[in-house]
Amino acid sequence: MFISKLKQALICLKAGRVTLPYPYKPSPPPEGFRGKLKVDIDKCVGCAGCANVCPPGAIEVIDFDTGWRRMQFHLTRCISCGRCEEVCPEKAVTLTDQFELSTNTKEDLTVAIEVYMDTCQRCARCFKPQHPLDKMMVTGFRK
Amino acid sequence: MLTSREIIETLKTKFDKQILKAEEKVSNQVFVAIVPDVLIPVICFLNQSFSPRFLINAGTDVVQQDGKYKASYIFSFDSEKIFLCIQVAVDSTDPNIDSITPIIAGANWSERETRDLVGINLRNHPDQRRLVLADDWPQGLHPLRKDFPYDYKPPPEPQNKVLLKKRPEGTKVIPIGPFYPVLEEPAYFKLFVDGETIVDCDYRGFYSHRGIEKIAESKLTYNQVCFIAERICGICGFIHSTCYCEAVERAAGIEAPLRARYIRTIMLELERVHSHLLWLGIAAHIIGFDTLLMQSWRIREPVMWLCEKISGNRKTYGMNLIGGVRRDIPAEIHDEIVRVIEKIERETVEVIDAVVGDTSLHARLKNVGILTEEVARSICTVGPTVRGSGISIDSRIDHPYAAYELVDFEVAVETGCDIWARALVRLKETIESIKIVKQCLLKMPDGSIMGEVMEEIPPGREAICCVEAPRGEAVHYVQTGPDNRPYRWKVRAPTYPNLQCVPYIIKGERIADVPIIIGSLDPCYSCTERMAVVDVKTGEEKIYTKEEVMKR
Amino acid sequence: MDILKPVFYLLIFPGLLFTGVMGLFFSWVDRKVTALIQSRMGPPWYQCYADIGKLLYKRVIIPAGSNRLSFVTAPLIGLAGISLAGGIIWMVNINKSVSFIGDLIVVMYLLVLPSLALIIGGAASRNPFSSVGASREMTMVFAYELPFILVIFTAVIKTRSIVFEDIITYQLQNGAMLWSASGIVAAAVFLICMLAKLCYLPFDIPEAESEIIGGTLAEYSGALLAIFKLTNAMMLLALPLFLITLFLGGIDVSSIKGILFLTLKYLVILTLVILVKSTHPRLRIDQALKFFLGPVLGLAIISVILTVLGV
Repeated sequence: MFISKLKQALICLKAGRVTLPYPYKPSPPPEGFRGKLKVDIDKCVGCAGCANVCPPGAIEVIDFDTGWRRMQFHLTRCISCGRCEEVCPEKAVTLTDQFELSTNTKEDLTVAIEVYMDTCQRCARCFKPQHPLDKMMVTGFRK
Repeated sequence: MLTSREIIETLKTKFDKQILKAEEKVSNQVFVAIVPDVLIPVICFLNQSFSPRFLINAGTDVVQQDGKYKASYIFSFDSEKIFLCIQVAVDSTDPNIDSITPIIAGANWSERETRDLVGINLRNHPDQRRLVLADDWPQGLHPLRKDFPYDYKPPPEPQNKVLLKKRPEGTKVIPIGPFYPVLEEPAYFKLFVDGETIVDCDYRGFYSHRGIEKIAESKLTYNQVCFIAERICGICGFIHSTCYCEAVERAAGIEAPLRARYIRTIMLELERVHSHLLWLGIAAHIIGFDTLLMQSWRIREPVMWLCEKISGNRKTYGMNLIGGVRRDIPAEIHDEIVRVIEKIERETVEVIDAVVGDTSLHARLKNVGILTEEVARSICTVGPTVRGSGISIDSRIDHPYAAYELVDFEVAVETGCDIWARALVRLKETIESIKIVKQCLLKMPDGSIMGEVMEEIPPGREAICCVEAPRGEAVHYVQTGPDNRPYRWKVRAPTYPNLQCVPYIIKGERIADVPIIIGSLDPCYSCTERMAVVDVKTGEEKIYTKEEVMKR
Repeated sequence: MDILKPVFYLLIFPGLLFTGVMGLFFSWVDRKVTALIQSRMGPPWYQCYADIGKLLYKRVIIPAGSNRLSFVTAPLIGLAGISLAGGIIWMVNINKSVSFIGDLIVVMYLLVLPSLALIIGGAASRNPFSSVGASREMTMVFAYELPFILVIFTAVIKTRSIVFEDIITYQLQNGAMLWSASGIVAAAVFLICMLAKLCYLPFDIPEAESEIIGGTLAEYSGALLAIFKLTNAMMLLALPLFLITLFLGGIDVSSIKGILFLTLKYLVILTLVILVKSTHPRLRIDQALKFFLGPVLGLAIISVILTVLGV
């Protein structure tokens, strides 16, 4: 028994202190980390493919009959799975490496963009459907 | 060696007209539909001739198609690598079925769950109390029926409280839970003690329902369910998502490419490593050995960093989709993986070496919580719990999935039947997992990581998949539905049968040992409970201060 | 004026306040060294003071149906016992003339009071876990008190007196009691019993946090819990000093060299306590009972026999 205890004590002392100094010093995550969602309004075409595949339903799509589509990204619900980033045809939705999301005002965590839905002159659709398993359950605008 | 053909032939010969349909829908998975009256004779016949292992009973509401409720009893033939699903359909106007619990003790909870959630009443079941639904859930409302909307909150009816056993003469009641320092999730064990020895116990669980099966069947598409499956459990999430994806792939006939299967294997084994090291720390904390807790978690931390690098997150990897995986493990990262897991292997071997001879640990862990082989077989327990009692069941060998047929490894089995044996099994499995990861990295071919899915998945297909989680065998049963969504998804976590053996293994033990015995099963209550609807608060009565807590 | 001096000695220095402050400081040392063994940072130096300070302003909840009188006075009994005992141990070392006949026996009785406080508090709490904890504490007291008393009597047998003054003088003349076979065995047994008295692993059975939710202290909160924790910290200072007085030559605070030696002796004992504490799991109550009434009692009897033989 004493030998076991000695071995255990040796393991402990060999390791030393391993505590990271976070949050007193920043601790950046590795590359490829799936963090907070970011949407680039210049690239978004309003296809709502992200809303379609989002597992928790964090992306809300509201259509106005003036031809505008409002997309609301609820970061409080987002699980950072990255499916939106995967299916976005224009690479407008990306996941950053930010993970410190706490705030005192909940409204900070809802990002809303409004996109004007222009139609293609040849096929009169707004965008092209993607993968058979991710069939658009939110029907295409003006279909 | 028995084949599926032979099983179908034997059943047809014996029961003839009473078998409505018997077919091998998926390779090595036999689905047999029978008339309700012949359920008990079929089960007895199976027990005597083949003695398969009972897995789970899944209740499905198929009223819209046939006007019936269907109960599927899933069995596993371990050495023959076959699944057998006996399906019984009862009329929705008179949903009564004979209970098989008198024959197979392990079916106790699954049948009560089907009764609670789908409404198939049981004849001759030894325990007719509620299992899963909350204490104030109205009588007669069954959440998994298709006419019950997933977001409906019924008005509470407090009179449906579950009555636990009465205190026997001469004993005192010690409540373990629902709030208890070492149970990470709420569960209530009512222990009847005489001095410090336990005479009997009763259990009330299922406090943390989250409505996962219901919401998957109501609202989510196939690919979205992968993510909710991952969140069934915080420690073994990837297992559930892999099991679900494989079940759907088998049902739909989609083949995941070889590289994707190897990647799944690697992530599954990394998860096993981290889970077993976590268990070692928790078990040490329960018996007061905090130093071992800190050291084993220190050794485990590099695996979490590694997984963060590979998948983008420490725990919920989010890598599975139907047909393959989303993220590749590029060759640049292989060296780092090998370096990290070799260091973990060295340090784990050091820790094993240091604790194996420690007599103070032996005093607490040896000859405590004995689970005999007969009890284990009758309750159908799984995982390291049962491998510590000498029974060698492992889904990786019995029902291969991912790339396990292509790698070599040993299954750790001990015969001590006590907590020490289970601890040794888990430690040996950690070392084996590291070997598997190294083999996979060498054997992984180049190629695509996502299979081609050409068309929508047709409805009406069924499949079963078993995956070896760190805690035991997880079973998923999927029935595909119209509209490109699953129709029925039944999850059985490994802790489900393991918790049923708690009354047997704590009888005669002391109060001081109860937490470590429960901890040695490695219970994951969040895996076990994910059925009904979101609305939960139970009026569970604690012995003394509940009224005061409520008043404040 | 005459009455103020003993009050000062008992309450301020070296009684309640001084022992409390120093005891809390050494509790911090214990936590910091434990953290080093567990590969983590430990708390900052003011942590133990902050804990007591925070507890003092939290609400005290007295469980309904409990025996209010016993519930509230139990911690005070413990505190009174240990401050008196600590005060006596310090005073007889600083100024040998205050020693009186039978003060060793008085200190022994006073040192039982903290355990008694735990038992009364646990039994008065009207909580099944507290009553289990109280019964465990009673079993523990029954187990370790006998070897404890026996080894103290080795010192009595050697010096043929039950007065501290004589014991300290004997050691100053003949060298510390530790330098003899009986002394080493007796000191080892004293150390083990000290671990049990302090409710430290592997004997923190009555207060097992992960098994019976805090045991005897489950229902305590606020200032009453602060008093219990303060009592524990003071015992961490007083018991090793008791050991030093009996076996290691007494405390000499008249010179810097004396104070340094005292600190050294105390730190060695503290290190042994911490090392044992962090490398052992908790024992079960029946295993602890067998351990104390078996090997430990045997060693205590051996030390008495060796003392009688003059070794």
